[in-house]
Amino acid sequence: MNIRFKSRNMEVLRLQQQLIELTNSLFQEGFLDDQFTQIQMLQDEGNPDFVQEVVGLFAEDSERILSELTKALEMEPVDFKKVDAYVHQFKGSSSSIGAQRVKAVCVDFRAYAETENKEGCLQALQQIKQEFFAVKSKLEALLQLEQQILAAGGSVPMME
Amino acid sequence: MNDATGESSPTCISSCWPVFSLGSTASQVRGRNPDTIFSYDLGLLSEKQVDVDTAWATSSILADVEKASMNDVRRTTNNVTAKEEGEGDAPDEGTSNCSACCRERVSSRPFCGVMWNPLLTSRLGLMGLLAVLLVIMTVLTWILTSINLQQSVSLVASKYRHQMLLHSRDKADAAFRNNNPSSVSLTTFLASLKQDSLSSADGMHAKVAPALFLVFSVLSRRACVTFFGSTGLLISYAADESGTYLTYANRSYLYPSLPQGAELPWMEGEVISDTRPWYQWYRQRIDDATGYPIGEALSVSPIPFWDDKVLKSSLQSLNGVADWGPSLVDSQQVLFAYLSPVRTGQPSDPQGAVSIGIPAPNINYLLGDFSVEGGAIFLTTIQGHLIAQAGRSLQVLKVNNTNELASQSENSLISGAAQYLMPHFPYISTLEDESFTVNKLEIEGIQYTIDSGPLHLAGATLVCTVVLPYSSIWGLTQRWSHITLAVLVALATTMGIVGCFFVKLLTKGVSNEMRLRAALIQQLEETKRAETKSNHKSLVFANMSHDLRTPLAAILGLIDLCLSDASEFSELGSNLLQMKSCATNLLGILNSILDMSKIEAGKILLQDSEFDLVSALEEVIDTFSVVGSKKGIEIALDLSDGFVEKASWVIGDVGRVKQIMANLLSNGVKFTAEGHVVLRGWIKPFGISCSRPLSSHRGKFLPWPWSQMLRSPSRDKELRKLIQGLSEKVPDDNSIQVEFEVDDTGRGIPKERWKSVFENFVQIDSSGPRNYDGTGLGLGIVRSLVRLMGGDIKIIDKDEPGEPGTRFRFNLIFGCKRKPVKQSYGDCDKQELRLQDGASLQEAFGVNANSVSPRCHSESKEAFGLMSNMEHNRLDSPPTMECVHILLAMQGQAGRKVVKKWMERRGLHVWTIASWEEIMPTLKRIKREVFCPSFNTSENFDHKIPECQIYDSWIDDFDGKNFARDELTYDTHLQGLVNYADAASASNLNLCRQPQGHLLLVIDVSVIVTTLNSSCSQLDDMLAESADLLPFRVVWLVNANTPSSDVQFLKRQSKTCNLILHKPLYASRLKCVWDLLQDLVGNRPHDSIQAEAPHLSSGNREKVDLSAPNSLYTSLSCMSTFRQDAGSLHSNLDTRTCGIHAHALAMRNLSDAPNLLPVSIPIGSEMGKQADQMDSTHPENSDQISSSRVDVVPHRSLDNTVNSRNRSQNALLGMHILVAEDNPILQRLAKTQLVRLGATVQCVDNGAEAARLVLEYLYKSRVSSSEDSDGKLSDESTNAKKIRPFSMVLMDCEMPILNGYEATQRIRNEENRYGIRTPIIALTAHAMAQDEKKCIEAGMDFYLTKPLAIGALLDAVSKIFGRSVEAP
Repeated sequence: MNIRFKSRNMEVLRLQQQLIELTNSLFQEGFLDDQFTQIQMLQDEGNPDFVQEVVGLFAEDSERILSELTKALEMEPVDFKKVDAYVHQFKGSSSSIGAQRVKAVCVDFRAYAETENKEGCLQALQQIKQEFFAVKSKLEALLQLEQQILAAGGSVPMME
Repeated sequence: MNDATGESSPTCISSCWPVFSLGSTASQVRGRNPDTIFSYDLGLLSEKQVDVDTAWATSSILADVEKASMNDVRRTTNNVTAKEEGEGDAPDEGTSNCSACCRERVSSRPFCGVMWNPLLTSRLGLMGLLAVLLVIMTVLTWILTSINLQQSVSLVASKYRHQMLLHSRDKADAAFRNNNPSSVSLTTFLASLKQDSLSSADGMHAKVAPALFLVFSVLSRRACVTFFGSTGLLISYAADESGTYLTYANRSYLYPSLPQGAELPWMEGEVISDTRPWYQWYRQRIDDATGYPIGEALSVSPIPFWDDKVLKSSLQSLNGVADWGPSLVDSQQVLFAYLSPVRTGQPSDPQGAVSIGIPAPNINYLLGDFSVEGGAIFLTTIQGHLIAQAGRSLQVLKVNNTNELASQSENSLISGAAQYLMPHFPYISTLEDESFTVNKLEIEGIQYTIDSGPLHLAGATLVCTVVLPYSSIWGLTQRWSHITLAVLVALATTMGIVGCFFVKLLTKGVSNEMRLRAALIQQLEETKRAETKSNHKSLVFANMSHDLRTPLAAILGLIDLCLSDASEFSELGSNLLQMKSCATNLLGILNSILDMSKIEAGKILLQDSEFDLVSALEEVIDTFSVVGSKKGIEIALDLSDGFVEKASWVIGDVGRVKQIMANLLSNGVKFTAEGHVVLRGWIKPFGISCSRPLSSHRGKFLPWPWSQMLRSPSRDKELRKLIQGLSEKVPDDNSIQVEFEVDDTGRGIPKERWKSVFENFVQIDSSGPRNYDGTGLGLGIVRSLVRLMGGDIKIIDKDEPGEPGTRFRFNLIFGCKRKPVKQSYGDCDKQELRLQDGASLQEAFGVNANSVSPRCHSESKEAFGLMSNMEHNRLDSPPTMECVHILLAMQGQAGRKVVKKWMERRGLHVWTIASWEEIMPTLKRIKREVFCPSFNTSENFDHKIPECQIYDSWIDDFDGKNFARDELTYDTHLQGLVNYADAASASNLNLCRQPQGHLLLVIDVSVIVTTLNSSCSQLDDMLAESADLLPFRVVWLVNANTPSSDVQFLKRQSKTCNLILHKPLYASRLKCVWDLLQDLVGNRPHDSIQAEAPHLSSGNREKVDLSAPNSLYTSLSCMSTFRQDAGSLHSNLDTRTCGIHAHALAMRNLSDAPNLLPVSIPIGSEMGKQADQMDSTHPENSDQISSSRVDVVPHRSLDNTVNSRNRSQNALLGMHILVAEDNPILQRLAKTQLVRLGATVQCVDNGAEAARLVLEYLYKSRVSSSEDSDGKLSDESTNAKKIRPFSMVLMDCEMPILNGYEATQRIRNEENRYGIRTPIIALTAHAMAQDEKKCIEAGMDFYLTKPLAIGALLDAVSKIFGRSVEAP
């Protein structure tokens, strides 16, 4: 991995190291995929907070969908078409941000919804919530770290 | 009689019911134990059932049924065994066997307790009903027949007896009654006589005797007529056997001389001879007729008859009495006499009495007329005295004792009957006409019927009795009635048993059928459920395709990237290569499994596009020739000419066709250890027999032309007509049937497995050690795909029975849009297409796009122009190839044959050899042929094609050494001729004309046994001899195993190497040879090709083949195919991945065949330079390339992003794009991405809004364009763009309010009115082919998967807008 540094400041260096490790772990553990890198690449002078914006959108949208899903699954009888549509949406947004673990659970979830397996759906919902909050917290940590780096006068290293 | 029936019925019924209640058959058999019968019966049935079970056990579908019936067996068996144990009887053998076996069977099965079985109940009910019916029937029949019979018989019998009785009575009566009137009239007559005539003996003689005699003579002789005087006078006429006698008393017992009143009265106890000696009786024989005495009068002792009680009582009675007793005249005689008093004066003082008696024998005689065999008729008095008897003993009764009672008769029959009747006599005597009947009185062991009735005679009552043996009346009737009953019962029993059996059978049949049906229904339901389940699974599986393949594709791409970094021979490099092959294998396996699951899920759809079938096949063959040459197997492609012409441009799913070929070829290569694998192809005219029944796979498995035609039944009919009409030609030119054969020389497949190999997961060697890897899915997929394309695949016999290997034959149906005109490489249309492909490919992959692209364009165009020019040349000039000789030195029989066939069809003379040593002698022969054709013909050395073929086969048979030896003799043989020819040519200029022959050597590198260097120089020498006489060209064939140094060496040989081709030789490569030939025979500028060929081929540093124009062409078509691959195989995948994959493939292509594009183009520009110089420039080029690649590659794993950024920073500049997307994140992302590319973006989040916006702009722009004041989008837009408010719409398919499909339809409908069409690109998260179809059907122009990948988007944009987008 080639890492470009702009600042030799030790603090920045440490933070950058931390950021790289965090990013790497996110990729290695499968929380994120290339799509996220693409999003990162879309961030430039014209859109300085693009990533943050997108992550925010994602979190907002996902929380909305999750609450809708929870509601839909509490209904009796469960409208699996509706559930499926929500999960589909969720899958779209998670894949667009590159949250691939969430996406993977979405795939399972849809399978359950298609077979109208309520038990499975509930399980998947639980799992999806877990995954979502995990990735959300990771992303927030990541963004925070980036902020810190920027605050410390460094630049965010790009993963090549 | 009634008694008898009354007795039998209850017994019958009572013996029946217990049987029914046991639920067994109605086997009601008297005297047998019903339980025993029951157990027999059950034994029989259960045995049967076990048989049935065994038969059924084979059928797995009936497993449930079997279990149920086993329960039955079990139950019945339990019953039986319980009974056996309970009774302790010797069990029936069959039953015990059966029960034992049942027990055995049952013990091996779980048994779920005795349940109440409705079947058993109904069965018992039916049996019971049947039994009741049978019994009723039997009883009724019996009663009706037997009782009626008995009654009628008994009626007849009683009447008969009665008549008999009456008759005998009447007879007796008549006999007696005859006497009565005589006695009455006699009495009356005597009473009229004077008293003295009655009181004196003389008077009596005078008056009474004649009257008595008269009566006597009137009456039967047997009678006895007597007049008893009150004073002892007597006159009696009687008869016996000896004659008629008159008995009379001489005087009154009173002394006659004494005066009146002085008589001696009769004292009690007096002895007449002592006290009254004067009183004498005399007996005198008389004449029968006259009554005169004819004999002497004998004195008999008198009997004091006046003292007789009967006489006294008769004297006192009014009318007289009748009595039975000894005669008062002759004590020897017993008489039945009628006595009537004669009163002359005072009625109180009778003068005497008249007696008319009938002697006993005479009565007997009367009765004796009735003879009853074994019976008796007798008369008795009320007191029981036997009077007369007839019947059994007809002898005259000797009645000595008048007091003899009938009960004491000697005749046991009479005595028995009398004994029984005695007490009843008083009752009998009171009866009138009816008779007293006793039935079945047993006397001495025999049953008799007795009838007796009274016989009233004057005063006396007699009893007449008829005794008849019972059997004489009832005998037969009785016996037959028993037999009838027995038969009836037996019949009923049999019917019962049979009926029960049938009931059992029927109920069993019905219940079995019901069970079967139930099982079937259950099975069907389960099957349905299983199918749904499996469908779901398959669906999920198929849906997971993109998730599974994405990481693999990424891995492959990454490995490729790393490979390009790693040095070629390092350990890392080899490891990476290994990784790559593993990953490729994995992808292959995954793909095949996914294909299978897709096919199962019915999700596979052919993605039809127009493609070059020939080049597709050639690519596949190329791929496998590498594998094959490593393994030492020859791979050959053998296409018929018609095939190349017609099928080169067809519509179909190129990816799937390639997959089929690849599967079959890899299969062939895998299982072939040595020999060859040949792929043959030819056009097959449509015939009725050629395709499978169309209706069975209507529309589903047929390619598009058929499936569309088959949508409606009328179409179907049309099609059938069409198919039937098809005989020789394709009818409407829009479909073509191609037949293929894949022929290998492997170990083959046993004939019995020919069908099963096409099943999924079947490998021939499943049992043995796994020598061959694979999933066993290959052939299954192949078959499914072949069927999908409207064909069928089968294994067929080889030409010769013993030949090893397998031959698959299958046919595919392709569409072709146009009439298949003579397609050729010069076809401008196609060329342009390829050019376009090539160009867009370069753009798409963006390899050095900025730097290379312009040059590439111009150069490639130039190259293509040249090529088309060449092609035109070739086409225009008719070949003059008669005198071209081709020396084909090639290893591999199959390939050789293919090439030879191809060349011979074109009229070339082919000499095929298989080893290097043969080259020299063959060359010599060719020379002779060319120079001395006349001699050869005159000497009958036919050089024409047939000879060559013989020669060829000859070579095939013998190895090189043999050949050499033969050639030697041949040489010496011809030496003279050649010499002669040389001499002739030298001496005669006419004969030594400019030789017309041309020589083309096609030499396979692998035939060279020594080093290439020495071989080349050898060849050089050989050719040098004839070079001045015979123009020649040399084509070298290399394969994947050829060391690159050899290739390099060959390239440097300008003289002995004109063209290097890769094996296998197939149509397009042979075209190169053909071109070379045309060049050789002078149909085209000589030096142009000479200049080009080495240059361009030398550009191929390692092994990419082909001559100049074709190298470019091949590389382009190759890449275009890659692109097609990418498009078709991965269109259902994430397009971004597709981008990576395509890029990876492109990169791999570059690394495998480096500097194809970049190098060939500069070379093209430097055309005309020497080959050596080109070689020297080559390293630079390659360096340049690698450095440029180094620039690109290390930056980021996502090259496409970089590339797209590089190449299209402003790719969408000036475009106004509408993004319809409900997901805010995606919306944001898409916007950012598009803005980066220079577009202006407007976002909406539902379809309705999108449609509204588009249409709003549409109207607006319509207005504004008419006013010519559209300033919004006019910057760089073309005129067409002016009237388009949005350059493009990115439409998410699933949105709230109005989804993408509907929105698109709405837009399209509206747009149609204005005649414009805004490009709409669908964005969808679905990744299946049918989604794409749906999108296209909805009116969208392109289809991208989410998340949006810039590379794919730009590809789509460039497709939609043509090349204009790249260079705005």
